[in-house]
Amino acid sequence: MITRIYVDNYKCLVHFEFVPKRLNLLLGDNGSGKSSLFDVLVRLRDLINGERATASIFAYSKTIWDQRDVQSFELEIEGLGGIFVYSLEIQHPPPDTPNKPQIKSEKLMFDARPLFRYSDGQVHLFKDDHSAGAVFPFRSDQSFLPSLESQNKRVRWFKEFIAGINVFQLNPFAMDPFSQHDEHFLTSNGSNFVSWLRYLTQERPKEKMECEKRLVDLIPGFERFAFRTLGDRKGVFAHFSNAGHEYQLALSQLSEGQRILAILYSVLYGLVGTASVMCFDEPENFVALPEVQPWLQELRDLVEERSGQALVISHHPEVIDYLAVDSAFRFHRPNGDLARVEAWVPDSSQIMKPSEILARGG
Amino acid sequence: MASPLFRGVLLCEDVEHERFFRRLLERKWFRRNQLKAQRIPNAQGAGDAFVRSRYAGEVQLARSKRHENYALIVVVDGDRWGLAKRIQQLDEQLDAAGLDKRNPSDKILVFVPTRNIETWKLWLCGHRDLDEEGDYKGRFRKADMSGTATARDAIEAWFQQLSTEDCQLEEQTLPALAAGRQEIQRLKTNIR
Repeated sequence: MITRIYVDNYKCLVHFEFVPKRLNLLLGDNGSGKSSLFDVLVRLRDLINGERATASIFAYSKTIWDQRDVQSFELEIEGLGGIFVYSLEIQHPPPDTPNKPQIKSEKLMFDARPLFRYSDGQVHLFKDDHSAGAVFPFRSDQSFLPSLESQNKRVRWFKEFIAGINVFQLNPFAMDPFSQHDEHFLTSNGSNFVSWLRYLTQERPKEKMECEKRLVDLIPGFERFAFRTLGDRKGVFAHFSNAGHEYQLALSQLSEGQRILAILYSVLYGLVGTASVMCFDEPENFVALPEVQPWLQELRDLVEERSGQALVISHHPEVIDYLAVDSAFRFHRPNGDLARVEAWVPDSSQIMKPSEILARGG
Repeated sequence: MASPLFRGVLLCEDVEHERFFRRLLERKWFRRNQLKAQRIPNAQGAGDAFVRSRYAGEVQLARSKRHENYALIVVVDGDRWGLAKRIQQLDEQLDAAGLDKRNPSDKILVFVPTRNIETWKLWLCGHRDLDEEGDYKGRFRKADMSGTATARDAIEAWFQQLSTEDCQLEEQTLPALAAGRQEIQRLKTNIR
């Protein structure tokens, strides 16, 4: 699991350090830096997976009022019986120049011993015993890590861990009711839910059935999801049986809340245990009040049982009052500039709920 | 047709209570995740005071749903007070709110782990050198870390048949646990 995140010169995060636990509730005013932290995780994942070039990942992400042109990121991750430390420095061009952000340095260590390093335009590889290996020049507009077909199990583990970081800001209006092929990942807004469900149906039918079993409890009359071919695409239909009537509803005919419930439970059953870190930005949006705590209970059980890690951003009283007792962190920007975060423990002398304490300014 | 399983509220002191009783009750009697937890919202507060402060309101709500498969589960540690005193304290809350005392037709179950939930977990995991006065939190923590007594094992043990000898020993040594087993029996008779 991630044990430390350090960010410097990224949006409102300057010399910013966050030490997460297994289950984390992130609280704070609008604009206090919570979603920026999720952005950082997505950008690092995309860089290390090679999905995008440095310029498109880090362009216009520097702190506006900071004159320094170097941006720094560090991740500490516990795994394989030790601590991985990944460090990245991004060199930003002077303002109003056509140049693009470049990697200044990149380093991966395990228990303070090197696994990979990039600096001064050179890649430095290391052997399993951490002794120096090949050195060769490499471009600075992308990371070499995605190309590194390493036999080193620690490097492989690290890359798989990073690929398993999932950030969700679900939006039922963005969900495409049709799919042209299976997709083994779910996009952050859930737009490719149908393709993801096709993947679960083919590759992980047990998890899909678990998800459907939960939805049977939650959505009156719901029985299962089934696909129907429409030209070169497939659409998903929810089968219902109510008071002797059997019918099917297309995904777009389900309510927004029902669509979100379907995604939330498919994520729990389809990803916990395979995803390394799951981040949810206001997962309770669109969900009816009685359904919020059951999903959180399930999330907490699964995170604990399968040694996962979850970060949840929320402003919702139901979420706050349920999770604040675990590990709550409060983001704030005291002078409107730099974001800071600290563990938040509701005052035990107050009989008010944590959400009520927060609503009164903490 | 109504589902033969309950939904309801678990009014308890803390996360440890919630974990144990939710997992226990969802094994047979409650729909999964249909037991809404009401527990103290911070780790340092007085959990027993929290339970008492919410008790009357939850009883009133449960009684208003007496025709549904809705149950109220209350868990408060016996601490130094013990089973009888804790029940009396709860009764006093009802009295103060102008409500009738709990009666057999109420789907309201009260569990009083004494001295606390760790005593029950250790006992269920086979530790027999216990009583209701001793505080075994530290001992359970060590046993949990070494894997010799876990909450999961304790829940499994709850559903195992007790020998007559063990049953008698439990009634003599941990009467609040024996009373807890009786309390659960009431769910069976109250399913509509």
